[in-house]
Amino acid sequence: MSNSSFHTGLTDEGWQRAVHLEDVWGTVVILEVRSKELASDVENALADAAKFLHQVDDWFSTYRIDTPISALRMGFADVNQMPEVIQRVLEQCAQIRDLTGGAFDPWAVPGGVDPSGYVKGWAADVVADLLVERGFENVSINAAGDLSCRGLQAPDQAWVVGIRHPFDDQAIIGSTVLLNTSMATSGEYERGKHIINPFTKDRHLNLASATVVGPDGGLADALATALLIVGLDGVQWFQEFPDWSGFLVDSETIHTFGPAFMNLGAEL
Amino acid sequence: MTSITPLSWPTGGTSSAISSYSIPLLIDAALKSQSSRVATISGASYTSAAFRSTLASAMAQAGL
Repeated sequence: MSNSSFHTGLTDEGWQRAVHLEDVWGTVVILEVRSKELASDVENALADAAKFLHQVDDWFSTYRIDTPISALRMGFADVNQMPEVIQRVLEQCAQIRDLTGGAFDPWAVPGGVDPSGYVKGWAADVVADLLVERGFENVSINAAGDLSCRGLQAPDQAWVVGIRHPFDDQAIIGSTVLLNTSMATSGEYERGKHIINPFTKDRHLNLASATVVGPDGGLADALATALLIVGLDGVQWFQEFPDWSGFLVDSETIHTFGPAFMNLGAEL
Repeated sequence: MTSITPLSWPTGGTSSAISSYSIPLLIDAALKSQSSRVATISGASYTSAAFRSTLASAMAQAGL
């Protein structure tokens, strides 16, 4: 039913790589593990972890009529009747709505509550942690642009990740390392206008691309979208989170904050 | 290569915990050379139809 593929190879440093591509959510999720020597059951382990992505679809898809979230949206069920995992995600979303003063608001969109702006980054974290629990130390999940990394990409080298250039699909505009953290980017250059500004109810955005790095992938996903809407004023949300970072691109300038991008200024 | 301007923050208090810079929008040579070590790419969500043409796809499958 679902489309997936499995590949293996070696890094330049001689580590083994295993990559699993999973067609899910109308996109493709990349699961990768690396090690000097990978366990023999790596193919099954990656396939098992990818099953969680379909479980997430069964809970949260707003494109299918048979999911609990669709029942909630259509008024056929109450939030108290939702699976516990959905209740927890909605509680997180409500907290982020408060943190961002309503810039991230899954309840403000037409058609009923839609937590999709949190779920992709959250699910990437869960899958990464599932693989760590299964014994893989070095894990990278790329959920259609939302990243969750654990361990290293090579001996003594943490995962190096790039940020796609918003105006050039074959270029990166920045890079950093993820030390057991997550990175989410929001923009409209892939799928066109699809984000609604909850304040103006129109589609005006203040940035071309917003990237957030931090220890929580769901929160990073939601805050990236909120920053895209609000622009630089949203940086105030991070005052209580000194270990979080951002990389914001408008039509002519890059703005960064936080430890992940501290060396960027020094390099240029 | 270019001047870097720290942003001033809309609020006072603890904002000194956050550093910020604005730099001109360029693809710098330093970033290009660094890109050889980049393992994967963050970006806006792509569709499955667009996946094969993304840089993330090329990087995931390079050398496999």
